[in-house]
Amino acid sequence: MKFFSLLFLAITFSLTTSSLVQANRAEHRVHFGVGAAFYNLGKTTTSVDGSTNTLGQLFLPLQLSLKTEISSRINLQTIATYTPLAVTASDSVSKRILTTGFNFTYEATPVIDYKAGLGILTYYISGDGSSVTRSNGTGTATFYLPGTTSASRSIYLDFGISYYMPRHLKLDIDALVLNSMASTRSFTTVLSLSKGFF
Amino acid sequence: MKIITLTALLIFGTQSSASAFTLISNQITAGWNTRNLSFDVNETSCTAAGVSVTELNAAIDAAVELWNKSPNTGIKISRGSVVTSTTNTNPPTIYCNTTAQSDGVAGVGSISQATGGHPSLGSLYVNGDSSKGAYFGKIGTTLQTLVMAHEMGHVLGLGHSEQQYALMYYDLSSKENSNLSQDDMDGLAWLNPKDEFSNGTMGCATIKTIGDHLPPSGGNGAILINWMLLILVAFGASRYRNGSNGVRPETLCP
Repeated sequence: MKFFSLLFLAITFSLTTSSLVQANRAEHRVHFGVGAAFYNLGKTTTSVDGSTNTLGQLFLPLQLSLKTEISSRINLQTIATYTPLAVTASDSVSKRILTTGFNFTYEATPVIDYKAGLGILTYYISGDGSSVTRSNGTGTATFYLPGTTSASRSIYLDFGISYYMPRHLKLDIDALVLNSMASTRSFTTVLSLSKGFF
Repeated sequence: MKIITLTALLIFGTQSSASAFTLISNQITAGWNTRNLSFDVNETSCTAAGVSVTELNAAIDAAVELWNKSPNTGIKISRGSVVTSTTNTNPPTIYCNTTAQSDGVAGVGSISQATGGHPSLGSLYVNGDSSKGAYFGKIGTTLQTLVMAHEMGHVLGLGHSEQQYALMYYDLSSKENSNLSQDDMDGLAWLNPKDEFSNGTMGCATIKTIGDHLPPSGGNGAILINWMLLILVAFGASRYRNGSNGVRPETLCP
């Protein structure tokens, strides 16, 4: 997973450096793109010894955003992301994320926006309700997969940077903070590449 | 666009399958029907088994803290009162069992009477037989926490996971650290999904000092965000209709 993340960064970096001096920040109202969301950073374990991993769980959202100008340097960005390709936990349980929210963006330089905002993150878990046989220490036992879809809804704060590149492309790095005022605070990083339209 | 397609294909290629959490009973369609579940403790049974009450309560508190780290669940658990029960109760009871223990079984968690899809009674016990290998008094602090948290997971409604790194994997002997896997968190989130619009905004409901003085169901947060989104969309649409071409003003003016 680290390899592909680095490759993603390398591709976008090469795009920007190839013709940075000609960076054309044509303003588009609508951006559509793909991303990589690392959900729940540094809170879970993927090691048998129980130590935490740093990247969290990978989701691959499609992203659609609409920008509305407020002043010459400040905009409002309405944004929605969804993971059409579910993260599967066995063939019978899948997980998806939907986010909707908005950011205030500030045009700090000709190619960089700072942004901050908030939104709603909905975390879906679905299963087919089938039964499985699993080890029970002294033998085996029958357990059951979830049979319905549950949806957890959380409000998140969003802090990020947009980087405008040639060919109407935009690279976004966002940090989503869930449960920002509680001990269960968790972070999700979203790296996305989108193309401007309209 | 070719670049986006290529990037998407590369990332999509990293998707992988894993095994999933399970439920302990097919009668369960949701978790405990409460937002705050306490575990009562039968300290007397553990004292009689030679298990330190201090160690027992420390393990309970650490296990409670572990489950309460789940960011997208609507239930919070805590240590409750001192009781004398050794059966399934509501709130569920924790006790030490000195009989009928297999050598390697460190604990057992169970629920019963899943009325309306919710567990309604529960209990868990740890191995209180000092002649057994998994006797709670000699397995070490980390494993005590893990055993307690694992059995709490059963009482919450979870079955065993196939992921070896999950807390709900049947064998905890390889673990050196107390952490949940995403699979464990997903299981609890499925049983008790969080709805921040009715459970308190920005996680406020989880700050214990506030107590139960939570925002009303339906939530001011939901109303605020929905109205702001509606205004933004309407504002954007009106500007589009008015013929703005999206070019920044300073690029139009010399």
